[in-house]
Amino acid sequence: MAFQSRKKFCFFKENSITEVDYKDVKLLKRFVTDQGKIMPRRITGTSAKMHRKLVRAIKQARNIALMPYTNISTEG
Amino acid sequence: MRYYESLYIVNPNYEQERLDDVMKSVADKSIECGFSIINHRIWGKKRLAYSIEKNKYGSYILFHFETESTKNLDDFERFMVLQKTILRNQTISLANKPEAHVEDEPAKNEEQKETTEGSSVATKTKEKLNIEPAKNEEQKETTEGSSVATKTKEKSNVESEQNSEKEPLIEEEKAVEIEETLAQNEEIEEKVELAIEEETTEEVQE
Repeated sequence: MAFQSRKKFCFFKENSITEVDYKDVKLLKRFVTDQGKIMPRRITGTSAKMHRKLVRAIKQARNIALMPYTNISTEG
Repeated sequence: MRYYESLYIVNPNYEQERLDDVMKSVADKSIECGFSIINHRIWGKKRLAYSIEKNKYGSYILFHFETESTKNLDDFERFMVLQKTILRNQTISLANKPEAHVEDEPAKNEEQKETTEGSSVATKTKEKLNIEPAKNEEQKETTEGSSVATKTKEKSNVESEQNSEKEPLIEEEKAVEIEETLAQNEEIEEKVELAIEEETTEEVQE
């Protein structure tokens, strides 16, 4: 196959993480685009269960200004 | 028992006394609501992802508490929102009981580890010396001298690491300042270059 893609895997399953903390910005940034959008599950490959927890953590981090809602108009 | 975690942002320009006042008012309110405090500590001064009330930085304060009933949670939330000193707050429920935060413990543990490692190395060298007793006394003396040298080195390493533990906080602040100064310098350089170019063009025209 010419276009053989890498096999996707769940980051949390590989590292045996069961809970996502919204204060761990370093981890959450892996699952966000440069613009600050949450990346879809079809790209990151996270399991459905962990993706739900991840999304919740990212939204909590955004609320308390640890992560940006958007990176376009941060200075303004 | 239900466990909750509240993280709130206070104006970064406040001094330590004013921060303590804010923390005390929150603690008083939580006691009034019937919560028992587990942790209440300053998490640190961080850059906000977006500006809140024209503040680019904020002092984060982490507050863990437990309570039997959920009656007073709304009251507490309302109190936090109404405080003018608190820029933003967020309370979430926790599944497990949070561990009580103890300050300065990890640093001590590291030091102990280092000391134990150093002693183990020393014992190893001694063992080697015991294994080879047949050799000349002069060699022994030299090896002992070298072991002393290694010990002093270890000590110096420990000291340097202790210093490095304290430094990062200061370094972060410095780094921000340096970035700002660098940006200013770049602007000045650009201006100077522009000025030189204008002068040269004027000369050419003349």
